[in-house]
Amino acid sequence: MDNGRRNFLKAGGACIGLFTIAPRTAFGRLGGNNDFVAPSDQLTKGIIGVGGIGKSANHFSSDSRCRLVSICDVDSEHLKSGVDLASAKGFGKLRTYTDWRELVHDSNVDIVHIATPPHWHALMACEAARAGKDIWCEKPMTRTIGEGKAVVEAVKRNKRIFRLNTWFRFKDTFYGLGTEVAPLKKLVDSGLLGWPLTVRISGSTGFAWKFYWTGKTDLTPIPVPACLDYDMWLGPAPFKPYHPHRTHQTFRGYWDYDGGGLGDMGQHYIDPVQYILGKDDEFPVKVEVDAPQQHPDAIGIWRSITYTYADGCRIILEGEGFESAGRVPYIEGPNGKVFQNFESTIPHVMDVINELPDPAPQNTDFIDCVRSREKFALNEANGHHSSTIVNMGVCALRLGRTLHFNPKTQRFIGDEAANLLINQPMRGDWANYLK
Amino acid sequence: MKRFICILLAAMLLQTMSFAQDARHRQTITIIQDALAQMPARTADDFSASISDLIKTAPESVVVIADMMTDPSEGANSAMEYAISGMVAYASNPAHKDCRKVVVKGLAEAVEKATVPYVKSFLQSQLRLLKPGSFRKEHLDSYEVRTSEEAAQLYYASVAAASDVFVLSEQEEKEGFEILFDGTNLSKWTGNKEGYVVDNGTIKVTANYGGSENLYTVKEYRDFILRFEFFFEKPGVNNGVGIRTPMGVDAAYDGMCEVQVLDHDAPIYKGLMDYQVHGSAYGIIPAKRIKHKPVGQWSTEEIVVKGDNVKVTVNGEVILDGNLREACQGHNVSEDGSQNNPYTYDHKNHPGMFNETGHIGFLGHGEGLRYRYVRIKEL
Repeated sequence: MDNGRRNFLKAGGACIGLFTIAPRTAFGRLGGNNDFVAPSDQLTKGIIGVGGIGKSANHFSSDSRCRLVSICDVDSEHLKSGVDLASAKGFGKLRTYTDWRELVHDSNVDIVHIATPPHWHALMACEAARAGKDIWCEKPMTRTIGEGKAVVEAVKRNKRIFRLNTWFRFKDTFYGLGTEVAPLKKLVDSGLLGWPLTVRISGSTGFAWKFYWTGKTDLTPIPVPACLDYDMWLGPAPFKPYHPHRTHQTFRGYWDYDGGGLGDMGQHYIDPVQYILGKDDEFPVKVEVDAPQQHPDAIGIWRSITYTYADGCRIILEGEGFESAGRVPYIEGPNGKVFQNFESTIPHVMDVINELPDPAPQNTDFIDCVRSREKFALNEANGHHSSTIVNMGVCALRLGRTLHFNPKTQRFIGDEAANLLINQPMRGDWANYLK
Repeated sequence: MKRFICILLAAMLLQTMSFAQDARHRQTITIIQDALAQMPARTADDFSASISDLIKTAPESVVVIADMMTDPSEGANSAMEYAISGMVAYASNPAHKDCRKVVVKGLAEAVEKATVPYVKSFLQSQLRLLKPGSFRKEHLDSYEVRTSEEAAQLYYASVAAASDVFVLSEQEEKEGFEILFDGTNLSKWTGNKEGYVVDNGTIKVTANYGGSENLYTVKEYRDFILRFEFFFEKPGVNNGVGIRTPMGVDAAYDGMCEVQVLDHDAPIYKGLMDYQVHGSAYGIIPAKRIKHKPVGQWSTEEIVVKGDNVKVTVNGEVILDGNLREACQGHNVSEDGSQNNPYTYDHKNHPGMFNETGHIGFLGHGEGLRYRYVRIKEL
């Protein structure tokens, strides 16, 4: 790879293609967004974790703007299926790794995609940032609030471009709500609904909390399959005897690795709400839970979780099977309500919205951001805020009580045990990667 | 049924603690019995009600409940896990500060008493939420990168098994390999069949050091390829494969050599000599030091003996390939008859080094090792 070009990108230059001698048209072909992309400008990416979501389109793609060059997995079967998939898609030869640190430090990789379970996200993101890579990270951003703070720091210090793998704040129909987020943002910004607002994320408003992501208690240990490096799969997580339900397709059921249905869908559902309410720089100050007693290892279900902001805005999550009956509003304010499919107490609401100014434009092309060094729409900073909402809920569930949060210090108030969940011990020397 | 067993266990435990006569403790049992039956609590109020009862009988209730926990292979811990983590969550609530002390006391005592590594780790991580200063990562088994002795011992033993009878691969069948241990019996072996037993398809080793403590092949061999798999149940495991050795002697010296089997990554072997690492022809030629797979995973090994040559391959990597005669320049024993031999690597006498034939031996140095899939091809 051309060192000159690479250093150039890191320095944040905006002019690309200065170094080709022959006419640009002689070399490249039309690329991604119909911008001409000369081959020397092609970025490269590597994916850590190709067992599940890592093989989905947002990660496992390769085109003239960004070429997939390597994959990493601790399960040799996953690695093999990744290689096969790349070949089926005509992607060209991939470099394979079993140790993610080698992929992160591979000079041939510009962008690191992190598609492992959440207990690895922060360590990999911090190390990738230190290695001068840009990062595309799965949700939830981190497993603990402390890890989120570390990622924000590392990305900032190393001047990296970071994005999360969720996008509803800037595109696509917002699940069962039956609308995209932009018109909701416009309506809220207009003030027509009044203030403060309550947003209800529930089966009744079009959002399913996936309670099949519960863990099992009393798992009896079974031998680790030969293809899996379980020690490396666990990484920083405490050692617990192997059982397939702890890993691969069902890790979401265990506090050690994720946050159940709340962890799985939390950032998808909550990040756009944070955006709609204009609270990318805030945190809720209180979280209340109504749930059965939780097991210390296996995640169970919950009935409701309520977040309250300092100005009185609330986000209410209702668990699967515990939704409010009847027709409940998605957003409710003193002056108006909005229901699923944009039904509203505001007369002619769609006409009203069409008259309103558009929300501020967002940077929604990651590759463009990597080139221009401008922050992506959903980045480490606002992503940490919505990820923290998820993780506050996890802390409250595990302790079974209301918690109060100080948004300035990002610590819980008057609850030492809750604060002990903000930075949790890591196995071996892995904590060294969190700097 | 599980609850009944728990109640029974709790009852038996309190009896063995020899204060079951005391009415107060009989009351503790009833309280524990009631509380466990209600785990997990459905609502916050139910939780407060059952947990505060348990707290009233802390620290004793904590100790009793922890004592009821067993190895995870029995799959019977969940009610106790709910109970203890529930007590910790309750006591960690700033509104219940007065409960903290008794729960900490009970947990600290329970941690001391715990023998099952999984249970000890669980109790320590719960104690951390009440008393963070007590958390010492190096003492917390589940937080070590290489699972410590205690953590691996009990449950690894139960999962090391290969359940099927071992059969040769087509390739090895064609090449003329012979199975020495197929997982079901030790008929081709003789010697210490107390310290080497068949267990779930493996040879489970508990034998200690000593000539009479070893297991030997019935047959003697000259040149061969020996293949097998080994498994450390815990760190620090020590064993060895005796080559061309008479029975009942120390094969490292009176046999051709001992091919070392050792978990050299364990911290207790910090000061290890290079000729002592895994795969070495002990004291004669040091092997290349590999990084073992983590405790609890099987590794493959092949030992090829041809004339004076010994070649050792572990997990596909050749770690030793040498000629013993050349290594000591033909002087396996000292010329002057003394104990000091300047020619051998360890400067000891190796009288058996040039044996032309002999048994193959598994040479015990304590428990924690398993072998399986043992087969041999004579050359």
